[in-house]
Amino acid sequence: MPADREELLALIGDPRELDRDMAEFARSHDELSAKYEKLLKRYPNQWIAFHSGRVRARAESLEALLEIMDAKGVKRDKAHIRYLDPDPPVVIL
Amino acid sequence: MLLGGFDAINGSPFVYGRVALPGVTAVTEIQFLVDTGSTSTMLLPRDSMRMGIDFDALPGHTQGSVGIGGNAEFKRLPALILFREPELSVYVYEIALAVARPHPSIRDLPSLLGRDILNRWEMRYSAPTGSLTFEALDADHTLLL
Repeated sequence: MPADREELLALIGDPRELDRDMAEFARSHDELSAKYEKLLKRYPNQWIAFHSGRVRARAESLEALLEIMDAKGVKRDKAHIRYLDPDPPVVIL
Repeated sequence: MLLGGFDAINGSPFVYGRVALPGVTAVTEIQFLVDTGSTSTMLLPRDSMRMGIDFDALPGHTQGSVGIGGNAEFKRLPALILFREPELSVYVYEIALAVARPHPSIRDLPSLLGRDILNRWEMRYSAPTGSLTFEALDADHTLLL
């Protein structure tokens, strides 16, 4: 774990860049939410990677999706990944 | 003030954070489910696989967790969890993050923000108004923007 501020910044990067990146991640989620019903009808039972307003990759499994993302150069750390389940399970954690 | 929200897709309370795992040089943005029932913050497979984490290659011993929906196995890793107060501050928490073993039954669940961090915040939760906000009462590091 970081011993001082310099070590911390080396691990997490520039805080202002982080602020911008996280704002972009939140915007991207808002866009996904707005399009979700349409995507659910178009790609039922598929995994999707969504970034910057559109589906960047889709596949039948999470493993396949990650491979496609890597092949297409879709940044894993910025994309929202979802399974489009027309009949989502009840979640009780 | 930290801003959370309610997922328009499934209504889940959430907050965005960033996870940095110094030991495995992985950093990514995460949409955490705010889970006051969870003892520990936990990275679930949808996010850990996105980060390229190979569970079996992680150091440490496998532990078990219990939930209403079933049991899961996990390992603990030292991690930094970051949250932003837009254009003001970044709060950093040093925790022993639980990383769940991938399993089909939990593959599409969101990662969990548990009481190891939530107990250091004050939360205002109003689903009817769609408002979920937090005051970070303390943090291991606070960076001003």
